[in-house]
Amino acid sequence: MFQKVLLVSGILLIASPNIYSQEAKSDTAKSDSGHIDQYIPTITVEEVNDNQDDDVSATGSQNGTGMSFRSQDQFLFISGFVLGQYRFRPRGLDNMDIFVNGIQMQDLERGFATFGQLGGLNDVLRSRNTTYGLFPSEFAYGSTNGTNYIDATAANQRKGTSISHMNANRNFRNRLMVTHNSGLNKEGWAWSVSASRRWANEGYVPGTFYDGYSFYGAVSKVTKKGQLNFTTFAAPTKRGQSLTAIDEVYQLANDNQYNPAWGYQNGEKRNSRVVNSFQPVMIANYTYEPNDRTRWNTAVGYEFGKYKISSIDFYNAYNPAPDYYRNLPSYYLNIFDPLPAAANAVRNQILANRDLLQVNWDRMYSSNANNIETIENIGGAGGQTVTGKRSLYALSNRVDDMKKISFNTNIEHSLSKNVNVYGGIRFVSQDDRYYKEMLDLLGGEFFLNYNQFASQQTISNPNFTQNDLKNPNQVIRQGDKYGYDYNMNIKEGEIWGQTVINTNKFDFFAAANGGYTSFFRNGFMQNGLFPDNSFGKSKSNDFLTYKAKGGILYKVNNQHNLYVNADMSTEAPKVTNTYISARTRDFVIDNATTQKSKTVEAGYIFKSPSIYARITGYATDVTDAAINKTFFNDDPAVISFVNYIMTGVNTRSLGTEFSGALKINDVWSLNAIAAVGQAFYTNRPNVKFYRDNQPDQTSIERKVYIKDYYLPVGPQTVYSFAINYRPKNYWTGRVNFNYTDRNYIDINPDRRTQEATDLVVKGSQKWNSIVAQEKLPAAFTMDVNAGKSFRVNKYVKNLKRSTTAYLNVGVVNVLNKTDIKVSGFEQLRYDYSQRNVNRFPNKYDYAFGANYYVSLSLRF
Amino acid sequence: MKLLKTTLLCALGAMSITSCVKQDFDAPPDSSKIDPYLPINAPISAVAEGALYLESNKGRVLGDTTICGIVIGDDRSGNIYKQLYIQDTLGGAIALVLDRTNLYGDYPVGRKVYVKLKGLYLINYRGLPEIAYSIDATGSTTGIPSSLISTYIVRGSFPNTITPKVVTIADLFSSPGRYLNTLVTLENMQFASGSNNVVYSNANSSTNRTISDCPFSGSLTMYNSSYSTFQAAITPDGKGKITGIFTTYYATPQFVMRDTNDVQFTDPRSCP
Repeated sequence: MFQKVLLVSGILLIASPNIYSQEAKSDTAKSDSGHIDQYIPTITVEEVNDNQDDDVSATGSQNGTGMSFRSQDQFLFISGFVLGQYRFRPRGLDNMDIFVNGIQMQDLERGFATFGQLGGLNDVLRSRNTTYGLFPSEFAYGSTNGTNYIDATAANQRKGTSISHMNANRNFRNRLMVTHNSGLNKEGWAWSVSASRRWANEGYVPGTFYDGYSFYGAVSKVTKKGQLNFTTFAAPTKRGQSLTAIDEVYQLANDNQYNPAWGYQNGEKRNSRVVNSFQPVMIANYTYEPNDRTRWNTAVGYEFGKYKISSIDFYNAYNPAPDYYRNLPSYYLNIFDPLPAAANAVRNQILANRDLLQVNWDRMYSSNANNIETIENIGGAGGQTVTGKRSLYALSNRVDDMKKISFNTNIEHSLSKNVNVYGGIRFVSQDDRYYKEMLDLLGGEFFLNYNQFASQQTISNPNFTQNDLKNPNQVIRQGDKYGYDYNMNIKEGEIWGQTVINTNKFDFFAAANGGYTSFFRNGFMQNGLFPDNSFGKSKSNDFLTYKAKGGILYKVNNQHNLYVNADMSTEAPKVTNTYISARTRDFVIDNATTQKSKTVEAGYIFKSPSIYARITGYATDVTDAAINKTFFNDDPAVISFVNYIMTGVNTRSLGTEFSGALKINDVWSLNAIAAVGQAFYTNRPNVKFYRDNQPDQTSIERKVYIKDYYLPVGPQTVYSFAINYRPKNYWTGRVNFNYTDRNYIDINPDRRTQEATDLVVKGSQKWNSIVAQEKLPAAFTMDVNAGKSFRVNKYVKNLKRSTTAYLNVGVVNVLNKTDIKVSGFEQLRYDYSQRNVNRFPNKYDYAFGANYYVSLSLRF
Repeated sequence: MKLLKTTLLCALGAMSITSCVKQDFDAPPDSSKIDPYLPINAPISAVAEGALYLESNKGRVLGDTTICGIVIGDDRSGNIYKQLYIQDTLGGAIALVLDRTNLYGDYPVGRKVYVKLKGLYLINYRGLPEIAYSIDATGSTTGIPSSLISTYIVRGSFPNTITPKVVTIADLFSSPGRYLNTLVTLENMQFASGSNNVVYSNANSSTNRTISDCPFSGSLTMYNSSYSTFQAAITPDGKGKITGIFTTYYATPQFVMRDTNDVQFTDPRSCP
């Protein structure tokens, strides 16, 4: 028992930092790469970690479907907790559905749950029921790769108090967490509170800080036939991010954790990319159990609040990114007439003063202070005139102000000993207001609500430069909205049903789902480029979807099981892939359609008291996907920011998974997992792209030759091997050996076009440099973990006998490999004039070197 | 229960006290009054005159000399590109060629700058004295690399004023070398017939316009970049004074305005 708890608490304690590294480093400036600039991670890692909570799978709801994986199967645990930091994603698929007390946590626009809402609440969000792959869940239809159901009700929390402190050198340095659960009293009431604080003045990555609080409060009232719960939680957090860079800069900095997001201001490190989020969740649910054959849960949820991320905005000023390509030595080697002497001088200067690779705040303050301008006709012709310091540089927040109402009801009923039926109805309405907000004028007095890129290109019409024709020449002060301001309203509904039949030899299931998704844009600014398509409500985009799945499990005998499951489904396209550029206009792509997917999985499971083994094969085909990327296109025929839209994108993900466990004796046991897959594009999609800053929205069409290129879904070959040591004296120990390979970087589709390779000799070295896809080097790593539990009343006699202390220590990447590239992407900007890929080289993200955690917790 | 309360209180207290993550930043001091007062070894004119002894499109490397001037022409309007013009109080002036755009953020008109010339090139660029990073055999110049600018150019105080010298067309034509790269004002000027009431520059290519004095004594070519913010503005019809930088393109004298505030043609046109 203690060992179990110990391991679990260790997993929980170390789980959270991993996820942050993924999140922060995946983020990269939109102008650099065109990648989604508000990437938010999912809670996968922590998710699957908790899946391994032995206590929970024992005490959680009965496994009515009989097909969920048991705790012997460490596949998800190792995938998430051990390999997650190397960006392994099982089957190359997106993340699982996540429900809390019946409310689905996914953000409808992004399509996945944000960790920010759940962070720091490990103590109270651990009761989970997880299904993997297509296996049926008793709570929902589920996504292609599984379902997670978290029971966060007060009545379900383990009675008692726990206080823990963790020290680590990761995204945060310290975490203090306090939880008290009352347990059920005689009247049927239970309450639970939890609070935590995570902080770091500087995390593992230079210039990052962490400042997060989490709160949770819940009340339950249990009656004879049901349980009424109210649960609320929130995690107000501020943290400094890091950005990816090219290898030249990592080498100049002599640090693979180099972070271009920060610079010194008055001698202190200031980060330009700060995330500030506070999006509390409130859930009321009632579970009605009229008899032991029926369970009916109805939940209403409300979420609201803001997610903000800051970045430096500039207007007609030199790019403030310290690693801007024109600042680097290689710039002088890649120009038409290379200047090696200049390249050398730039290199020597940087090596003599590496602060040149960081943000220069003082320069921006000084530029702003000296820039006195007079602005006339504020608010329109004949308006006010203002003279003052017009900021050339400013720090602004991109804000997502969210409101989401969810309703879900689902029922489980046993028709007979062998037949269970499930079903439910879900409805969600989400409203997000997106805008830019002035955060800090950096010593200046005002900024203007102008579109710099429009003003450069379309000088003839002064309206083009106005972000808001309803308020021309608007002077922006601290706290003002500017740039863009619109609402995205999404409604989603579904109804589903499922039958599971268990017989002695076979388990069968079949499920069906029908749904609809509808969304529209409502603009609050009238953009000068698109005056008729930016203000007010757009027409609504509506999609009907269906899903159907089924499977058979054949129990050959007590030890051998065989199964096969299949699924066919459609899904509404994402908002960001449907609108060409929702920030400025309501145009949608041509022929927006649902994305279709077909999945089949089949496996063999062997179980004996000492051996567990599972081998699974899977294949998923996705067709008709749409992808929208925004970037600066240097094609002489374009020379503009473009919205680059690929439609009819088809992909396939297929492969094999193995998960095995061997219990040598009561003290020693082994675990091994392997996953070898292939996820790749299967066709040559058509592209239409549009100039982002011109009123002329004629599209340019292309074909991208990306068939058989790999998808950027992390390492597609992984092996992990664990040795567990659990002697009887309350000690545990674990060593993991991991190998990851075949991690392919994200390609720039525009480099695989006739236009990008024009006049380049096919098969030449230059040709290969443009079209070949880079595979990141394979990596071997090792992690160690040890824990011990103590009965405290042995040392302090007047404490309760049940008072227990847990100590947990671990070192991740104990071989201190600092050169492991975990992800990379080709910049979307491409040098059309010389077709030199080194001009805008690939960007990478490196894994943390050796890092540790020590946690001590006390339970009583 | 007492233990619980005490621990909870202690823990909460610890959270709020020990875990302060500072996030506010003080604004840096105003740097515009800071002047490093570097020792100056030569007036700008001494350096600029040296360029005119060079063959056209040739350069020579400079020694350990520091000059000081005030920016009289920047790239705010885009009419000047990757260049700054500086002039000192003794009237000497020179063009600085820099490999960076939007220089006006750091070096706006009125900013005092010190230029450490060691290792830079003095160039006779088609008759105009310039300082650049290098020049190759074909006469192609390279501006000071963006990252190296702060090594060669040290910022001084802001703002400072250089009063443009009032000259006539005859002055400029009779002794052009004396006025090259300097800020000058010409009075009683107007756009010549054909150059008035048109855009300053065509949209796709930089355009020369002609200005002349009235009563007429001569004409001057005015260079306008198609990338300038006033490209599409209409040249005025009237007469008055105009301020700008006097340059040359081989033997042709040229006039470079900085923005439309330089053109004060407020009187009625009085020559055809």
